[in-house]
Amino acid sequence: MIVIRKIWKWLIVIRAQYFQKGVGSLKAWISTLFLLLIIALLNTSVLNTELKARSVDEGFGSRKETPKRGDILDRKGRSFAASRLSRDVIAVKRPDTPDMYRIIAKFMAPRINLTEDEIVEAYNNTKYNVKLVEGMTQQEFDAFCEFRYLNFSRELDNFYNSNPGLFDGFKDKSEFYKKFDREFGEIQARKSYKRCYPGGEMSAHIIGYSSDVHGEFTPWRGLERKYDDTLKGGEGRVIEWKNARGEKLPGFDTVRKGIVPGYDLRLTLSSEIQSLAYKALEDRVKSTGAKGGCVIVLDAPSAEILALANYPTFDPENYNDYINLGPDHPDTLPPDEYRLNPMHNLVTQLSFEPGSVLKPIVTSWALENELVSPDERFEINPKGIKIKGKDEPITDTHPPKKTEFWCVDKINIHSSNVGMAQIGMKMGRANLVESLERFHFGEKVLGLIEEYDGNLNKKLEEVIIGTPSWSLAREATVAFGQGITATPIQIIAAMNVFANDGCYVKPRIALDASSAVRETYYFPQPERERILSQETLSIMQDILESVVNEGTGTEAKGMGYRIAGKTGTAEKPDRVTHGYYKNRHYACFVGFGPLPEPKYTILVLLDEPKPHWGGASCGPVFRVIFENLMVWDGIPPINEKNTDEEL
Amino acid sequence: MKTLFRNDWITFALGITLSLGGVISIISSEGGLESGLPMLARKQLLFLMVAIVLYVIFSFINYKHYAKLTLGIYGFAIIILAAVLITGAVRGGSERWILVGSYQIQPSEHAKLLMILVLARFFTRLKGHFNDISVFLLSCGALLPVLILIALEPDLGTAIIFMLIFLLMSFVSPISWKIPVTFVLMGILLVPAAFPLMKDYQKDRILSFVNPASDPLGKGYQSNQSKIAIGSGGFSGKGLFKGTQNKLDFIPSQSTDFIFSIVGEEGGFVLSSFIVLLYLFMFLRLGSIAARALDPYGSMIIWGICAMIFMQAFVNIGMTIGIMPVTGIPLPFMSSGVNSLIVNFISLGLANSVYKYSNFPEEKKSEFVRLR
Repeated sequence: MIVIRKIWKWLIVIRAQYFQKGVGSLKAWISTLFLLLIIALLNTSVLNTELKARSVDEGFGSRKETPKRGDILDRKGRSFAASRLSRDVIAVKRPDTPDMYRIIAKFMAPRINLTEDEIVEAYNNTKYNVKLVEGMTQQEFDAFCEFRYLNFSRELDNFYNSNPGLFDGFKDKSEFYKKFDREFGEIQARKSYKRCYPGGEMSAHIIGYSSDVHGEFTPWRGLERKYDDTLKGGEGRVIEWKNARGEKLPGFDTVRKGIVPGYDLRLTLSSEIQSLAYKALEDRVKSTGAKGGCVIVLDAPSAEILALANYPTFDPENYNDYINLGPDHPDTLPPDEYRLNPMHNLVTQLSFEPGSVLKPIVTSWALENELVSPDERFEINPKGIKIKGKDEPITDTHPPKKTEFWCVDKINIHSSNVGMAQIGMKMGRANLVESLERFHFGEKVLGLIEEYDGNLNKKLEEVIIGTPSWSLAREATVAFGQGITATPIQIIAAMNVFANDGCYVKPRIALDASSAVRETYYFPQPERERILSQETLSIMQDILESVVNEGTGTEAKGMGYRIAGKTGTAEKPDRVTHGYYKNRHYACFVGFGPLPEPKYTILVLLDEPKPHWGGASCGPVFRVIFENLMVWDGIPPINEKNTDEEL
Repeated sequence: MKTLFRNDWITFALGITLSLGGVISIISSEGGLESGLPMLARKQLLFLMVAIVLYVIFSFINYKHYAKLTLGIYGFAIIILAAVLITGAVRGGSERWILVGSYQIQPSEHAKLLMILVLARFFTRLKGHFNDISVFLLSCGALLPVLILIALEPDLGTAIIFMLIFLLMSFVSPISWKIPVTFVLMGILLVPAAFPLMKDYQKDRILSFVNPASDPLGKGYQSNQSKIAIGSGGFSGKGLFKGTQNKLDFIPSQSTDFIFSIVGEEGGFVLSSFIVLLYLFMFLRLGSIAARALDPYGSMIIWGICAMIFMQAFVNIGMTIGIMPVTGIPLPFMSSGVNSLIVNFISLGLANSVYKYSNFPEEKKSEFVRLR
């Protein structure tokens, strides 16, 4: 009670102070004003934490710095993509002062090896950022900086005095100086990194491409994008103790905070093999009249990708010229307008019905799980086989003259659809799906952003209940590679099982990431999953070797090397009639060698070549690449006759 | 002899304290003491001594003599302000200085004090002869030529300070307080109308005050940088000569108009609020003298001086923390600048003179002495 009384008394006194007559109240009011000032001061200096942070981090003395982006190297350290330092002079255009461009140009022209008109044109031709000079030498750059930041005011004074007629539009010197400073302040010398691609068009698809607009770097595709976090490093701040006039202060060190240079990414690719593969592919595409194609070379024991070539291709430094050259989904075009998008990476972005190359994969699973025994015979009728739910009978492209009974080996060697359809139906849906999934179809291999999954045609109820909802006809067709889609990289990864001791190893492309300031990071070795036993493997290797020696793949046979492989000639589906085109094919050949210990697995794919047979069109590419690899590795060919005599 | 020892030591001590604080801040703004006493600080110390001498001289001149010289003082003010327009040196787009030898005299600073004397005379002398409104309008008429001359320089900030001094003096003057209040309200309505007549940079300053974050490196730059500096000081500051924002010249005019940001950065909230309290204390002290002086002329002079010093202090400090627009107004006693320092000490001398020579009612004087 007493306290309240006292407060009340105080309030009366204070009220009297504020509302007394005469000038006495002024003291109270002005004191209040000053106390409010102290409160505002408290807010600014103590309570406002944002200001405190800005003085350290975003003050005038610090600026963002993007570190050098890491290079992308081949396995021996030669670069596929590199960042080069570029010294430029840039300006920001102010559209409201066009009369200043001419004056700026006159002032700058003797300094930057450009004529006045060129500078004015550069201003007129852009919307915001004007790049006046690109790629100066260090001496030029230093000279320009000296002019721009140190001697600027003296030079401007000379300039003003020596060009009397030029400044009539301004009221006086100070107005001109003010306007000029506003305009000229936007001209800066800048060092930046420019991304270039020494690998060029040979490796454009896998390396990817990027854009750098107004200092905003964007990786778009390929490894540039997938390993962006590794390559780009950490953007940090440079705190330079400069005063507001741009003079560096003595006694203060430049502090660099949080700037981490990007890792250099070393790939498994070898630039020699890449060039070889690209060259061989280019020649073959041109000589067969194909629309395009791709080649993959794997190191068989480790599944490291040694080469990955595409044709047609594009120039990653000028990718803008290629963007509209082809549709993203060429399959939707009518046959006569069909062309490939040069930026389309067939290796990962072509999801096609693989055709015959799937046969050994399905066969090996059937043998491994004893669903079919090696000497079980299937009736091969030259007229084909009629299946419930399918109007046309399944026929062979290389049928026997009369009905014969073939084992799995002969079915594969002669690529018999009729035989595979029977094997597929015997295996049943669950086993077919399991075989495809164990060979990792339907999932991304390289993990690129633009990579396709492939489609195993699993229906929703199958995903939920677990039983495939395929019809009998689908069981029959999947066995010889129709009704599902896969990408070339999935196919070669699966076929590499036969070359790699029966183990599935996911192909990998990144070896390690190294940096001058950090420990080298080694990408983990992919797991080895055993899929086939030794017995199945030897049966399959015999079958695949026979394909090359006596079956459909004889064109791939190298001189004096034991190789194995499988051809594939996949008909393209017709999206209009939901059937297949009779005369449009993907030709494919996957092979490995030299047996008995395969070193390389090579996939060749051509889009609509002539001849359209996988063996005939793709075999020669395989042979050229394989023979060259053998020579580089110093592996001599075996003379088969001599071997026979010794035996 | 009686008047010799009757001095108001408190205001003098406060003025000296603030000035020395200003010198330290100037040293800091010039980069510390590593390479000896900086030139600017040396100059400021030298003129602090000159200012103290002037303080003593003006203390011993009876302020009542000025009343007879009112017209002469007014004419002198007009002449020096006109002279600056004719012979003045251009700096930063406006003519504010007259060069005498190597020193610049800024007549608008001196004119403040001269006009305080003139207005004090007007408000007290005319009261008996005219009605309140006429007194107000006549004083207004006396001020108007001065305002026009200053606006021609152009120096908007000083013109505003003149108007504030005038309004405060008319508020405390014998005329009715309702008149200046009405005038202020009318002015608030008229400012938007005057906006199109202002120069671009003046408009920019007002606009940047309204929204300082809009253009951090442009028009609101000074205000933002100063806020960042004060904000970085925090509660207890970075320590003497350890401020970085000020050292790096991020704050333009950091030794003159934005000197308070150095106090805020290096001394933190503790020191900067202490400085504000010193100003407040000085104001209360001067106000006490003014309230108790029996002579209305002396009282009006002190109110004018109060208005001059504290309006400037308030606007300046407010400007460094972004609650007032950026004007070229120095912080009294602290900012580096010969003219401002000398004028401030002369005004303290005048106040001391009023304290010496004005008659105080006996009973109140004893109370006043006790207050000391």
